[in-house]
Amino acid sequence: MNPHLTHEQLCDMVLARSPHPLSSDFAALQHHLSSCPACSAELASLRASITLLREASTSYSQQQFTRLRSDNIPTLSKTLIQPIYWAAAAVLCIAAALPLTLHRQNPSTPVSSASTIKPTTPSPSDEALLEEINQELSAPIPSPMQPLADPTASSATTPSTSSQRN
Amino acid sequence: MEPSNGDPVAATMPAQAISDVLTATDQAPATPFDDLGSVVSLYEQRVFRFLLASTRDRDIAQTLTQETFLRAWTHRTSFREDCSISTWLMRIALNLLRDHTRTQRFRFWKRVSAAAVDVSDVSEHIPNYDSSPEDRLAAKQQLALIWDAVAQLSQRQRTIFLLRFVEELDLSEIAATTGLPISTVKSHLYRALAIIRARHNSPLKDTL
Repeated sequence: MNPHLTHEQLCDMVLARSPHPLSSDFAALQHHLSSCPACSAELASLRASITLLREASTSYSQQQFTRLRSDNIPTLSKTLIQPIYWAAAAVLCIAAALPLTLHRQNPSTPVSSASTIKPTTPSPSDEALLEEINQELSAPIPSPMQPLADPTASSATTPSTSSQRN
Repeated sequence: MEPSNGDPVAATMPAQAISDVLTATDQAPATPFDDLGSVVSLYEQRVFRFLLASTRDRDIAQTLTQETFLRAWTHRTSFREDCSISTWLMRIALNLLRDHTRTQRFRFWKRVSAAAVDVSDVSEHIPNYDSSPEDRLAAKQQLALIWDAVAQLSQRQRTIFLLRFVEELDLSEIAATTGLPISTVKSHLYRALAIIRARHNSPLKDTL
Protein backbone atom coordinates (compact mmCIF):
# COMPACT_ATOMS: atom_id res chain seq x y z
CA MET A 1 0.00 0.00 0.00
CA ASN A 2 1.37 3.40 -0.98
CA PRO A 3 1.82 5.84 1.92
CA HIS A 4 -0.22 9.02 1.75
CA LEU A 5 1.28 12.31 0.73
CA THR A 6 3.15 14.09 3.45
CA HIS A 7 1.99 17.53 4.56
CA GLU A 8 4.87 19.15 2.70
CA GLN A 9 4.07 17.27 -0.48
CA LEU A 10 0.43 18.23 -0.23
CA CYS A 11 1.42 21.84 0.43
CA ASP A 12 3.71 21.81 -2.56
CA MET A 13 0.86 20.61 -4.71
CA VAL A 14 -1.41 23.34 -3.32
CA LEU A 15 1.28 25.93 -3.81
CA ALA A 16 1.89 24.67 -7.33
CA ARG A 17 5.48 24.32 -6.32
CA SER A 18 5.75 20.72 -7.35
CA PRO A 19 8.96 19.69 -9.04
CA HIS A 20 9.31 20.03 -12.73
CA PRO A 21 6.57 18.09 -14.53
CA LEU A 22 9.20 15.97 -16.27
CA SER A 23 10.88 14.97 -13.02
CA SER A 24 10.29 11.60 -11.46
CA ASP A 25 9.01 13.13 -8.20
CA PHE A 26 6.19 14.89 -9.94
CA ALA A 27 5.27 11.74 -11.82
CA ALA A 28 5.26 9.80 -8.55
CA LEU A 29 3.01 12.38 -6.86
CA GLN A 30 0.61 12.39 -9.79
CA HIS A 31 0.54 8.63 -9.80
CA HIS A 32 -0.24 8.53 -6.10
CA LEU A 33 -2.99 11.12 -6.42
CA SER A 34 -4.60 9.18 -9.23
CA SER A 35 -4.59 5.99 -7.20
CA CYS A 36 -5.38 7.39 -3.72
CA PRO A 37 -8.91 8.77 -3.37
CA ALA A 38 -8.25 10.15 0.11
CA CYS A 39 -5.28 12.28 -0.91
CA SER A 40 -6.87 13.45 -4.13
CA ALA A 41 -10.11 14.30 -2.30
CA GLU A 42 -8.27 16.26 0.36
CA LEU A 43 -6.20 18.11 -2.19
CA ALA A 44 -9.29 18.92 -4.25
CA SER A 45 -11.16 20.09 -1.17
CA LEU A 46 -8.28 22.28 -0.02
CA ARG A 47 -7.90 23.80 -3.46
CA ALA A 48 -11.63 24.40 -3.69
CA SER A 49 -11.70 26.16 -0.32
CA ILE A 50 -8.80 28.40 -1.24
CA THR A 51 -10.41 29.20 -4.58
CA LEU A 52 -13.67 30.05 -2.82
CA LEU A 53 -11.87 32.36 -0.44
CA ARG A 54 -10.02 34.09 -3.24
CA GLU A 55 -13.03 34.58 -5.49
CA ALA A 56 -15.38 35.67 -2.73
CA SER A 57 -12.81 38.03 -1.20
CA THR A 58 -12.00 39.52 -4.58
CA SER A 59 -15.62 40.02 -5.51
CA TYR A 60 -16.49 41.43 -2.10
CA SER A 61 -13.57 43.85 -2.05
CA GLN A 62 -14.43 44.96 -5.57
CA GLN A 63 -17.97 45.73 -4.48
CA GLN A 64 -16.78 47.58 -1.39
CA PHE A 65 -14.25 49.51 -3.41
CA THR A 66 -16.92 50.61 -5.86
CA ARG A 67 -19.23 51.55 -3.02
CA LEU A 68 -16.57 53.62 -1.31
CA ARG A 69 -15.85 55.39 -4.56
CA SER A 70 -19.51 56.21 -5.05
CA ASP A 71 -19.80 57.32 -1.42
CA ASN A 72 -16.90 59.70 -1.85
CA ILE A 73 -18.47 61.26 -4.94
CA PRO A 74 -22.14 61.74 -4.09
CA THR A 75 -24.30 62.14 -7.14
CA LEU A 76 -27.24 64.51 -7.36
CA SER A 77 -29.78 61.74 -7.76
CA LYS A 78 -28.47 59.96 -4.71
CA THR A 79 -28.59 63.18 -2.74
CA LEU A 80 -32.15 63.86 -3.75
CA ILE A 81 -33.46 60.52 -2.58
CA GLN A 82 -32.21 61.03 0.96
CA PRO A 83 -35.20 61.93 3.19
CA ILE A 84 -32.94 63.81 5.57
CA TYR A 85 -32.14 66.30 2.83
CA TRP A 86 -35.81 66.88 2.19
CA ALA A 87 -36.44 67.44 5.89
CA ALA A 88 -33.54 69.89 6.11
CA ALA A 89 -34.83 71.74 3.05
CA ALA A 90 -38.29 72.02 4.59
CA VAL A 91 -36.88 73.41 7.82
CA LEU A 92 -34.85 75.96 5.87
CA CYS A 93 -37.92 77.05 3.88
CA ILE A 94 -39.93 77.52 7.06
CA ALA A 95 -37.09 79.42 8.69
CA ALA A 96 -36.86 81.70 5.66
CA ALA A 97 -40.61 82.26 5.39
CA LEU A 98 -41.21 82.99 9.07
CA PRO A 99 -39.53 86.43 9.18
CA LEU A 100 -41.35 87.47 6.01
CA THR A 101 -44.67 86.53 7.52
CA LEU A 102 -43.89 88.43 10.69
CA HIS A 103 -42.75 91.42 8.65
CA ARG A 104 -46.06 91.48 6.81
CA GLN A 105 -48.03 91.36 10.01
CA ASN A 106 -46.21 94.38 11.47
CA PRO A 107 -47.70 97.10 9.13
CA SER A 108 -51.22 95.97 9.96
CA THR A 109 -50.58 96.55 13.61
CA PRO A 110 -50.54 100.41 13.43
CA VAL A 111 -53.74 100.34 11.40
CA SER A 112 -55.52 98.31 13.96
CA SER A 113 -54.08 100.39 16.76
CA ALA A 114 -55.10 103.53 14.94
CA SER A 115 -58.61 102.22 14.64
CA THR A 116 -58.68 101.35 18.27
CA ILE A 117 -57.12 104.61 19.37
CA LYS A 118 -60.37 106.52 18.86
CA PRO A 119 -62.41 104.48 21.27
CA THR A 120 -59.56 104.15 23.64
CA THR A 121 -58.62 107.83 23.77
CA PRO A 122 -61.76 108.84 25.63
CA SER A 123 -61.18 106.23 28.21
CA PRO A 124 -58.33 108.11 29.92
CA SER A 125 -60.44 111.24 29.98
CA ASP A 126 -63.34 109.32 31.41
CA GLU A 127 -61.11 107.96 34.02
CA ALA A 128 -59.78 111.42 34.69
CA LEU A 129 -63.28 112.74 35.03
CA LEU A 130 -64.22 109.97 37.37
CA GLU A 131 -61.10 110.63 39.31
CA GLU A 132 -62.01 114.31 39.56
CA ILE A 133 -65.46 113.41 40.71
CA ASN A 134 -64.08 111.07 43.28
CA GLN A 135 -61.72 113.74 44.45
CA GLU A 136 -64.51 116.26 44.69
CA LEU A 137 -66.64 113.81 46.59
CA SER A 138 -63.89 112.95 48.95
CA ALA A 139 -62.83 116.57 49.28
CA PRO A 140 -63.69 118.45 52.51
CA ILE A 141 -66.79 120.58 52.52
CA PRO A 142 -66.21 123.90 50.72
CA SER A 143 -65.98 127.00 52.87
CA PRO A 144 -69.32 128.55 51.81
CA MET A 145 -71.01 125.36 52.86
CA GLN A 146 -69.20 125.31 56.20
CA PRO A 147 -71.56 125.34 59.26
CA LEU A 148 -71.74 128.60 61.11
CA ALA A 149 -69.39 129.17 63.93
CA ASP A 150 -70.45 129.09 67.57
CA PRO A 151 -71.93 132.54 68.44
CA THR A 152 -70.55 132.43 71.98
CA ALA A 153 -67.13 131.91 70.65
CA SER A 154 -67.61 134.84 68.33
CA SER A 155 -68.81 137.11 71.22
CA ALA A 156 -65.73 136.25 73.18
CA THR A 157 -63.59 137.29 70.40
CA THR A 158 -65.54 140.46 69.56
CA PRO A 159 -64.21 142.69 72.39
CA SER A 160 -60.80 141.97 71.40
CA THR A 161 -61.55 143.18 68.00
CA SER A 162 -63.25 146.23 69.29
CA SER A 163 -60.32 146.96 71.46
CA GLN A 164 -58.11 146.66 68.49
CA ARG A 165 -60.32 149.10 66.65
CA ASN A 166 -59.99 151.41 69.51
CA MET B 1 25.84 105.00 -6.89
CA GLU B 2 24.46 101.89 -5.09
CA PRO B 3 26.11 98.57 -5.81
CA SER B 4 22.84 96.73 -6.30
CA ASN B 5 21.89 99.12 -9.06
CA GLY B 6 25.23 99.49 -10.67
CA ASP B 7 26.78 96.03 -10.30
CA PRO B 8 25.49 93.78 -13.06
CA VAL B 9 26.57 90.64 -11.20
CA ALA B 10 24.58 91.57 -8.13
CA ALA B 11 21.57 92.32 -10.27
CA THR B 12 21.64 88.89 -11.90
CA MET B 13 22.17 86.89 -8.70
CA PRO B 14 18.53 86.13 -7.85
CA ALA B 15 17.72 84.97 -11.36
CA GLN B 16 20.76 82.74 -11.35
CA ALA B 17 19.79 81.25 -8.01
CA ILE B 18 16.30 80.50 -9.27
CA SER B 19 17.66 78.88 -12.38
CA ASP B 20 19.99 76.77 -10.23
CA VAL B 21 17.06 75.59 -8.15
CA LEU B 22 15.04 74.81 -11.26
CA THR B 23 17.95 72.92 -12.76
CA ALA B 24 18.37 70.94 -9.57
CA THR B 25 14.65 70.11 -9.59
CA ASP B 26 14.84 69.03 -13.18
CA GLN B 27 17.83 66.87 -12.41
CA ALA B 28 16.01 65.04 -9.57
CA PRO B 29 15.39 61.49 -10.69
CA ALA B 30 11.92 60.98 -12.05
CA THR B 31 9.94 58.26 -10.34
CA PRO B 32 6.79 56.47 -11.43
CA PHE B 33 5.08 58.11 -8.46
CA ASP B 34 5.40 61.53 -10.03
CA ASP B 35 2.26 60.60 -11.92
CA LEU B 36 0.45 59.59 -8.78
CA GLY B 37 -2.95 59.50 -10.45
CA SER B 38 -1.92 56.71 -12.77
CA VAL B 39 -0.33 54.73 -9.96
CA VAL B 40 -3.44 55.08 -7.81
CA SER B 41 -5.77 54.03 -10.59
CA LEU B 42 -3.61 50.99 -11.33
CA TYR B 43 -2.92 49.71 -7.83
CA GLU B 44 -5.48 51.19 -5.45
CA GLN B 45 -7.98 48.36 -5.77
CA ARG B 46 -5.31 45.74 -5.24
CA VAL B 47 -3.94 47.41 -2.11
CA PHE B 48 -7.45 47.88 -0.77
CA ARG B 49 -8.28 44.22 -1.41
CA PHE B 50 -5.25 43.03 0.51
CA LEU B 51 -5.90 45.38 3.41
CA LEU B 52 -9.59 44.49 3.53
CA ALA B 53 -8.78 40.78 3.60
CA SER B 54 -6.20 41.38 6.32
CA THR B 55 -8.13 43.71 8.61
CA ARG B 56 -11.65 42.58 7.73
CA ASP B 57 -12.76 46.15 8.30
CA ARG B 58 -13.80 48.35 5.41
CA ASP B 59 -13.08 51.70 7.06
CA ILE B 60 -9.66 50.68 8.32
CA ALA B 61 -8.80 49.23 4.93
CA GLN B 62 -9.80 52.45 3.22
CA THR B 63 -7.83 54.58 5.63
CA LEU B 64 -4.72 52.45 5.31
CA THR B 65 -5.03 52.41 1.52
CA GLN B 66 -5.05 56.19 1.40
CA GLU B 67 -2.15 56.28 3.85
CA THR B 68 -0.23 53.84 1.67
CA PHE B 69 -0.38 56.10 -1.37
CA LEU B 70 0.31 59.19 0.69
CA ARG B 71 3.42 57.59 2.13
CA ALA B 72 4.49 56.35 -1.31
CA TRP B 73 4.21 59.89 -2.63
CA THR B 74 6.09 61.35 0.32
CA HIS B 75 8.94 58.86 0.03
CA ARG B 76 8.89 58.52 -3.74
CA THR B 77 12.52 59.55 -4.06
CA SER B 78 13.56 56.48 -2.09
CA PHE B 79 11.99 54.18 -4.69
CA ARG B 80 15.06 52.68 -6.38
CA GLU B 81 13.14 50.51 -8.84
CA ASP B 82 14.90 47.44 -7.47
CA CYS B 83 11.42 45.93 -7.13
CA SER B 84 8.13 46.46 -8.89
CA ILE B 85 5.77 49.29 -7.99
CA SER B 86 3.27 46.76 -6.75
CA THR B 87 5.78 45.12 -4.44
CA TRP B 88 6.88 48.49 -3.07
CA LEU B 89 3.29 49.56 -2.44
CA MET B 90 2.45 46.26 -0.78
CA ARG B 91 5.51 46.62 1.41
CA ILE B 92 4.31 50.05 2.55
CA ALA B 93 0.81 48.71 3.10
CA LEU B 94 2.18 45.81 5.10
CA ASN B 95 4.22 48.11 7.34
CA LEU B 96 1.21 50.32 7.93
CA LEU B 97 -0.91 47.28 8.68
CA ARG B 98 1.65 45.99 11.14
CA ASP B 99 1.88 49.34 12.91
CA HIS B 100 -1.87 49.67 13.00
CA THR B 101 -2.72 46.21 14.28
CA ARG B 102 -0.19 46.51 17.09
CA THR B 103 -2.17 49.18 18.81
CA GLN B 104 -4.79 48.46 21.41
CA ARG B 105 -6.98 51.01 19.72
CA PHE B 106 -7.24 48.78 16.66
CA ARG B 107 -8.36 45.83 18.76
CA PHE B 108 -10.98 47.95 20.48
CA TRP B 109 -12.37 49.46 17.30
CA LYS B 110 -12.33 46.10 15.56
CA ARG B 111 -14.68 44.78 18.22
CA VAL B 112 -17.11 47.67 18.02
CA SER B 113 -16.76 48.74 14.42
CA ALA B 114 -19.86 48.64 12.28
CA ALA B 115 -17.70 48.29 9.17
CA ALA B 116 -16.32 44.94 10.29
CA VAL B 117 -16.67 42.28 7.61
CA ASP B 118 -18.62 39.17 8.48
CA VAL B 119 -18.38 35.88 6.64
CA SER B 120 -22.05 36.16 5.73
CA ASP B 121 -21.26 39.35 3.80
CA VAL B 122 -18.50 37.63 1.87
CA SER B 123 -20.43 34.42 1.26
CA GLU B 124 -22.94 36.40 -0.78
CA HIS B 125 -20.15 36.82 -3.31
CA ILE B 126 -19.51 33.14 -3.95
CA PRO B 127 -19.63 32.65 -7.69
CA ASN B 128 -22.80 30.96 -8.80
CA TYR B 129 -21.77 28.89 -11.81
CA ASP B 130 -25.39 27.66 -12.09
CA SER B 131 -24.94 25.46 -9.06
CA SER B 132 -27.77 23.87 -7.14
CA PRO B 133 -28.95 25.27 -3.77
CA GLU B 134 -27.33 22.31 -2.03
CA ASP B 135 -24.01 23.04 -3.69
CA ARG B 136 -24.28 26.69 -2.76
CA LEU B 137 -25.01 25.80 0.84
CA ALA B 138 -22.01 23.47 0.92
CA ALA B 139 -19.85 26.19 -0.61
CA LYS B 140 -20.99 28.64 2.06
CA GLN B 141 -20.08 26.18 4.78
CA GLN B 142 -16.73 25.57 3.17
CA LEU B 143 -16.06 29.29 2.96
CA ALA B 144 -17.07 29.76 6.59
CA LEU B 145 -14.59 27.06 7.59
CA ILE B 146 -11.63 28.59 5.80
CA TRP B 147 -12.71 32.09 6.90
CA ASP B 148 -12.52 31.02 10.54
CA ALA B 149 -9.30 29.14 9.97
CA VAL B 150 -7.62 32.19 8.44
CA ALA B 151 -8.71 34.21 11.45
CA GLN B 152 -6.89 31.72 13.68
CA LEU B 153 -3.58 32.26 11.92
CA SER B 154 -0.94 34.49 13.39
CA GLN B 155 -0.50 37.93 11.87
CA ARG B 156 2.51 36.90 9.81
CA GLN B 157 1.02 33.60 8.71
CA ARG B 158 -2.18 35.32 7.64
CA THR B 159 -0.31 37.98 5.72
CA ILE B 160 1.76 35.44 3.83
CA PHE B 161 -1.24 33.20 3.24
CA LEU B 162 -3.29 36.07 1.80
CA LEU B 163 -0.42 37.31 -0.32
CA ARG B 164 -0.04 33.86 -1.81
CA PHE B 165 -3.59 32.66 -2.19
CA VAL B 166 -5.64 35.86 -2.57
CA GLU B 167 -3.12 38.14 -4.23
CA GLU B 168 -1.51 35.18 -6.01
CA LEU B 169 2.04 36.44 -5.55
CA ASP B 170 5.01 34.17 -6.15
CA LEU B 171 7.13 33.14 -3.21
CA SER B 172 9.89 35.47 -4.38
CA GLU B 173 7.47 38.40 -4.52
CA ILE B 174 6.21 37.56 -1.04
CA ALA B 175 9.77 37.41 0.17
CA ALA B 176 10.47 40.82 -1.37
CA THR B 177 7.33 42.28 0.13
CA THR B 178 7.81 40.92 3.62
CA GLY B 179 11.58 41.10 3.68
CA LEU B 180 11.79 37.47 4.72
CA PRO B 181 13.84 34.71 3.11
CA ILE B 182 11.97 32.39 0.79
CA SER B 183 12.57 29.47 3.11
CA THR B 184 10.90 31.37 5.95
CA VAL B 185 8.00 32.27 3.70
CA LYS B 186 7.63 28.60 2.80
CA SER B 187 7.65 27.46 6.39
CA HIS B 188 5.00 30.06 7.30
CA LEU B 189 2.88 28.81 4.45
CA TYR B 190 3.27 25.20 5.55
CA ARG B 191 2.21 26.09 9.08
CA ALA B 192 -0.71 28.12 7.82
CA LEU B 193 -1.85 25.29 5.59
CA ALA B 194 -1.50 22.84 8.47
CA ILE B 195 -3.96 24.92 10.50
CA ILE B 196 -6.26 25.23 7.51
CA ARG B 197 -6.12 21.47 6.94
CA ALA B 198 -6.80 20.71 10.58
CA ARG B 199 -9.80 23.05 10.63
CA HIS B 200 -10.89 21.65 7.30
CA ASN B 201 -10.79 18.05 8.43
CA SER B 202 -12.32 18.52 11.87
CA PRO B 203 -15.95 18.69 10.72
CA LEU B 204 -15.39 15.63 8.59
CA LYS B 205 -14.12 13.75 11.62
CA ASP B 206 -17.02 15.01 13.68
CA THR B 207 -19.52 13.66 11.20
CA LEU B 208 -17.84 10.26 10.94
